[in-house]
Amino acid sequence: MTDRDNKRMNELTDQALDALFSEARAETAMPSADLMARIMADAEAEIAASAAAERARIESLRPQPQRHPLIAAMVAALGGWRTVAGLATAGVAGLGIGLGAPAAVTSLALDGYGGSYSIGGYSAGSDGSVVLSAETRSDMTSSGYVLDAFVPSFYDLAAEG
Amino acid sequence: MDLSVRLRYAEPVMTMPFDALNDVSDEALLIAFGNGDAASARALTMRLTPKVLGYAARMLRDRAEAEDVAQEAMLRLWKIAPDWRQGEAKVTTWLYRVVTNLCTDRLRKARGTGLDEIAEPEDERPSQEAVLMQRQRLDALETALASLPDRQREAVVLRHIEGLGNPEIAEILEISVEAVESLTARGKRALAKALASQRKILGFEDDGS
Repeated sequence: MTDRDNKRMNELTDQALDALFSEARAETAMPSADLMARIMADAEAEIAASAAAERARIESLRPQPQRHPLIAAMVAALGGWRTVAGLATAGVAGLGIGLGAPAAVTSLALDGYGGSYSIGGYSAGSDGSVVLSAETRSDMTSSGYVLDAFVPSFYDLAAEG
Repeated sequence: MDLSVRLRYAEPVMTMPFDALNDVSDEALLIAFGNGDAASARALTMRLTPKVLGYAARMLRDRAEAEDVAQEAMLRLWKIAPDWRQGEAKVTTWLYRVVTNLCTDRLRKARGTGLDEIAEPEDERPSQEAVLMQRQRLDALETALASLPDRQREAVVLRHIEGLGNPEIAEILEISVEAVESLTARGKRALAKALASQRKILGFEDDGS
């Protein structure tokens, strides 16, 4: 405003320039809907990509079960881990029963091994194949060994070593 | 004139369903987006794209190129969102810097292939003389701006048209505040000189003494 005339001939005044600037500021290009849509699509793709990356990262952090395929196949064939657990329990129970052998089984095995026997003991045997009749006394000794072969008792194992 | 500006901004914005996010800062939105929130992305797009596009358009003087740059800049924003370090820089500052760099790259390439020729405005509507006059004035300004060295143009546009403060411009251009002041001062003087010959077109001939 205080510029001298000859200077103003060569330059635009600050005032005029500022007016021009504010005019330019006013004329802000509105983004087209297409551009907005493209940018939003980029954003959504980015969300999807980072979510996928995050899932992959978590997946890679999780310890991978190192299972032999044969074992896995067997477990599957038996009906899954629940069944296998049940089987294991049954097995352990069987072992327990075997160790705490009932007196009837123990005495039967000992009798057979020692050669002396009682008829009542044999007939009470749960195994049908070794039930002996009272009449065939001559076969008794051999059948005692047969029984021993079928039912190797805990005491046999202990005696052997 | 100011009112028309506001209306131009307000119209599309008011129809957008992100009123609830109006009070949330850019940074909070960006972090929410980084956590997979699409609504934040929408709000950020609405809020930042006009700025980014406007600045790019001024630097490049080519609408299609400016749209490309705007999309690219926003894409970079989306990509950095998960790693955004809170409180380190303003989102807009970061964006302006990205746009500045993208535009500089494009201008360098364009110069290499001799595309410096400036297209005439396509949307001349002789029926609206005022609009035409304004268009001419702004074209003159843009032409003058394009004649400035890159750094001066960036500083002048950021300072006087985008309306940013010198410290923020310094951060965007990665130079000192003193350097920004010097750039804007020199740029403004060069602009005044370049526009002096077009005062008639500018309609400032009989502007107050």
